[in-house]
Amino acid sequence: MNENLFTSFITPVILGLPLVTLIVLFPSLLFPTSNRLVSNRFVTLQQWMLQLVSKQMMSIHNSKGQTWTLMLMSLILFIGSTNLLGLLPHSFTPTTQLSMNLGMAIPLWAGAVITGFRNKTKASLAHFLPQGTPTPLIPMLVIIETISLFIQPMALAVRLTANITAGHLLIHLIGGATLALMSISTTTALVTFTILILLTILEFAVAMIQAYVFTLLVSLYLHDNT
Amino acid sequence: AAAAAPSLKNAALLRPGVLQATRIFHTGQPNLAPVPPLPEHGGKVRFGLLPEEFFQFLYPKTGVTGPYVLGTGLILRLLSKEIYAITPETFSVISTIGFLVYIVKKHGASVGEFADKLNEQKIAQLEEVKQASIKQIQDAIDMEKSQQALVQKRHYLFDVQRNNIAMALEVTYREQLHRVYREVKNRLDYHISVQNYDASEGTRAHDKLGGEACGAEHLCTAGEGNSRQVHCRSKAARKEGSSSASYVNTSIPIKTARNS
Repeated sequence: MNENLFTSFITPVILGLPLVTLIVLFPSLLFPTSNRLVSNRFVTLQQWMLQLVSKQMMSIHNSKGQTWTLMLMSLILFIGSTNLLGLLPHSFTPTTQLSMNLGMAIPLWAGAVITGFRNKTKASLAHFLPQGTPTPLIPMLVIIETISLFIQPMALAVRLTANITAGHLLIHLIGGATLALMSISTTTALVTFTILILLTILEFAVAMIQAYVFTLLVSLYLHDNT
Repeated sequence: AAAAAPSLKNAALLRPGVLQATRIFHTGQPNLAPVPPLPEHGGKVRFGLLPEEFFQFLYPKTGVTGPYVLGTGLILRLLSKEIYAITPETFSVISTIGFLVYIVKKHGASVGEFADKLNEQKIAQLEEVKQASIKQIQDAIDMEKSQQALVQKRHYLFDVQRNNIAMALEVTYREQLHRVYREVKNRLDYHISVQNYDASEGTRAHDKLGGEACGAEHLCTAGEGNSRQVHCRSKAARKEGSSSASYVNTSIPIKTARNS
């Protein structure tokens, strides 16, 4: 029996050994490489999906930005697979930990910004001032833009953490409500159960969407800076 | 350059040939190839989890219902002894797993067909390239063969042309020969007629009164000269002899003229 609501978010440690390492590494087993021309259905579908996503996401970049393809594709695969695996019962989702999401967001964002500053200094500094602002507003606007720039990695990390954590919590809570209502009135429990099913569907969508959003935003920052 | 080359060769840390020598090319069988073919279908399972062999294993002792009774008993024991406790998570399990099973049952086959179609498209693309290449080569072969056949038949044309030319040459040769013959005959007949005239001058003077036909002789052409002489043979029998003699006479001077 779980003590409180948040026990499913404790970093798994078994006999003092960090199991979380294995859990983070596990999704890589689900993407097998195949050197064949005609592979099995699993690998074929994965290859097709990866091709689709990479074409859609990397087509907006120039050749310098397209060097980040491997990074962004592995990012979206990792976040998507960890989120989806976390929806299975009694599993641990690494992306619910703010530490991990910060560890993903800050280096990527910093890499994009520093690339922009090194290679296109004037243009990337020009991002601080949108076009067509009236002259008296300029100092304030520069400050605001700077703040918004530095909030970007925080926003990336917290967005992902909050979405996934909130989803898991809701599922837990509504499951608990169903359990409690079972003994009181079965009909209401069934209604609640229907809500739970709908929520599950939503969570599957959210898992994939969040991965997409994260990667898209990083690629957007990259596009601004290459 | 020849003097400089050895020093350049030894200049680097690793001499140029060493890296190539240490690189291993196809010295043994790489462990990735040839790969055995993949099995077409996976192992059979019931409920997506339990392999069919387990049911076959229990069949001799417990019949068809054996494994199901075992499963039911296990689940009920887990629940009643609260080895597995009903928690809020249980409902999320039911909803998640139920959702997944529903999706797989509904769309599993179509997704599999889609994957097969992707592979088929890939192979069809390559097959098309291969077939296009084969067809191109086949067309080239056929064209070459037809051109060779045309060339085979060309000798007829050459034969006809050769024959034509030979005929034309023959005709020209014969024409010339005939011309030569006519010219020579012309000259000879002229000489004959001159001789006959000379020979017949005395007789003409002798036969002047009755020999208008023979008197018109010197007006005859060379070709008709002989016939006129024959005509006038009755008048002068000597003419034949003289004409034939004149033939002989004329032939000899010509020969002598040629020989001299």
